[in-house]
Amino acid sequence: MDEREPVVLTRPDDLDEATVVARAQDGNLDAFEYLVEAYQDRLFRLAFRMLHDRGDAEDVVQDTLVACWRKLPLLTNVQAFSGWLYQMATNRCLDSLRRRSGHPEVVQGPETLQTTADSFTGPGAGGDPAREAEISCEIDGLATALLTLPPGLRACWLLREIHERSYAEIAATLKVSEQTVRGRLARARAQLAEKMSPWQ
Amino acid sequence: MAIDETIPRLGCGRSIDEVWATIKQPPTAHENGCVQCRTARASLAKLAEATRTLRDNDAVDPSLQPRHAVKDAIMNLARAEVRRGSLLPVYRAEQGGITISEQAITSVIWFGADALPGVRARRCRVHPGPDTADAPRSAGTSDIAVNLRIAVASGTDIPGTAELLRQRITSMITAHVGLNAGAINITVEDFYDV
Repeated sequence: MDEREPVVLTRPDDLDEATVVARAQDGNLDAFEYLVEAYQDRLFRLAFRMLHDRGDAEDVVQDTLVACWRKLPLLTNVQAFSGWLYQMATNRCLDSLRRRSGHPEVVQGPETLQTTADSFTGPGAGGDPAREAEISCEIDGLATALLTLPPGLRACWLLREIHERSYAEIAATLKVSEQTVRGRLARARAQLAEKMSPWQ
Repeated sequence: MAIDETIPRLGCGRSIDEVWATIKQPPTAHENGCVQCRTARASLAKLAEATRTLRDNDAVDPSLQPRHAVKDAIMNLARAEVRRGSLLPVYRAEQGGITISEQAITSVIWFGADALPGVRARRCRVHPGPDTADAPRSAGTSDIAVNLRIAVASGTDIPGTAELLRQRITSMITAHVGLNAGAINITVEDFYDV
């Protein structure tokens, strides 16, 4: 066997995620780029639904993934990678909202929400305009109701219901007990359900 | 709003969580007879449906993706702050020496390991061998020690595979780097599913 064949590593797509994370920890840029591509959209969707601002959401994605590169060597358990990323992104969203609450003038009115809601299309509607309108209306109603929740409840609800993170991980991310996570989720659901279709 | 930790209850005494937990099942006798439960079930069912729609649509909505500039900025910064590990002396003569980065050697080791079925090479540390002094020495005579963590496919013969891996790493390091591999410590840290 010729041992001096060109050194071409297995592409990250053909490896398990824990191995890709380990290689990124050791400074491999291809592995890190793969992780950026795998997570940037998910983190953006979380941040956008938390902050309702594209620019702020992009800032959260960028800050989170830059911090990820810098802190990766310190991550001891590669299996915990995705939870660790979600935790960094969630905390950045909550920080951003705290900063914003010091500047009440940037709170968005319903017109802004409507404009963004209009941009949603219904890819699942299969070109049926009536169903598309229904989907758009459903998403609009839920997204608008979501923005009325306190940030802690909104984060809990998004992490569980949209991103399907575990109770234990959400509890660790928000530094509360799992019982508190369950309580917040129940209150978030009750408030969202009531906003979307008033009970009384 | 103050966040208290209690779960909201309906007027009939049932918690929202109880109603939510059985939302996919047919209503119970109580739920059929209780106006509050019926209303709560209907609006929670509507929320569940809207949640599914939001989740599925957001996941494929091209307007809910960051601009390419975001990834470019992240990767530019990562390249600027690239980590190559420590520098290892390969060759030293009177006129100066040659060093090679730990990362370059690691790539060779990963490459060697990737060729073995059932092996995924993970974190790797490379150290100069114990007798590497600063005295002049010719190429191919200094030792390095390798600590490699790997995952193996379930059902892999670990001792046999580790021995093959050790031989392969030794020959790769000799061929590509011109160093002698001394100790090669392999830690199997995980199994992966094939």
